[in-house]
Amino acid sequence: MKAFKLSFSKLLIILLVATAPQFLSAQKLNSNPKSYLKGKFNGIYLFAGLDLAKQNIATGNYSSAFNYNLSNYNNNAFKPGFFAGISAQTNYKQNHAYSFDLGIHRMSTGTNYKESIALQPFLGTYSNFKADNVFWMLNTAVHYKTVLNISDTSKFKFRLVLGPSLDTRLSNVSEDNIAHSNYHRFVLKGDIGLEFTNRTYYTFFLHYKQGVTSFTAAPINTNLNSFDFGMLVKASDFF
Amino acid sequence: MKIIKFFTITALLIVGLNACSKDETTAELNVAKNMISDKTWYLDFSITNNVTKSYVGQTTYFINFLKSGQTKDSDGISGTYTVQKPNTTMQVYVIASTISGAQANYTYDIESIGSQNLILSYTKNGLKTQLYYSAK
Repeated sequence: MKAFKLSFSKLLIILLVATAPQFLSAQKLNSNPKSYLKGKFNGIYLFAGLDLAKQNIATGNYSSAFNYNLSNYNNNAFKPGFFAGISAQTNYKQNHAYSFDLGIHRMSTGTNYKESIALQPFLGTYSNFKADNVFWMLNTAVHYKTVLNISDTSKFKFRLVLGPSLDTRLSNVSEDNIAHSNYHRFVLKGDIGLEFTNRTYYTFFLHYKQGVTSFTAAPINTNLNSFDFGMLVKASDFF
Repeated sequence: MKIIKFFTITALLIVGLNACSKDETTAELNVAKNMISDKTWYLDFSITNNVTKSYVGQTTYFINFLKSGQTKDSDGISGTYTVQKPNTTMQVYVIASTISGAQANYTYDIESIGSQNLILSYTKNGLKTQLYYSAK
């Protein structure tokens, strides 16, 4: 078994989960969960949508016995997936709106190899690394939101969204990548986006998520980037 | 106390997520075997002492590796094969015999393997020969 390494992103998830009891005390939830959540958050929302994702891959000096013809694997495109989740929105000192988001993503990613190798005298370009392209991810995010003074804000609101998020890979990787333990479990991302709210009926959002940490182990450096398009609706509209 | 519990449970979960991985060498051998098997590999080039010989467009040597572990080549040598990794390099071990029944066992190092390209090598009398195969 490979040695367990405590990376920065693993440390971050330990801290996130460890501080969760302060927000969601089981004892308080059991006593009156609805009023407890109302007191803590302005609203609980459900969201769903489509994402477009791509991996930018720099293999560095990675080598393995496997060769993959890049004409079959290198597509340099964003590919569509989907997601759904729950968002708890609240304010800090009345003025600063922010949200805790928890979502499940089924990502299908395009791949952009920045480097290739040759296998002369064979023709073509190759890589010793084959990126996996379908992942189930648990995404946790904290987003700060500020209203932009565009249009009549009593009817419509545009919000700028900023914040970190953490993707936890739930699905296994292919045997090609198990063979060299190429993929990390966690990816830390920086999110920026826009949200459009029509009164309080619904909210459309567009978030861009830039991978901050590499999705793959050194020396391969993989940035997992995605666009999320979706809609938020109040959970109370359904339950 | 709750925080300590959460720390412990979370740490165990993360260790668990990392520990649930297949043995790396087994995975590597499985991938190699899947890539090599059920194909006919044609010799396109051989390189010995920096001299390249091309067999592209000619009647050339070929070898079949079947998923069942059987192998047969264009010289009529047939037998069984295994893909192993005794040290840092994967190897193909062939236990075979000629049409006349003479033993013809050999071992090749796998330098590179893909779904369409295979580079094997062996060293004889201090000279290394690389064999470049493509699957057709």
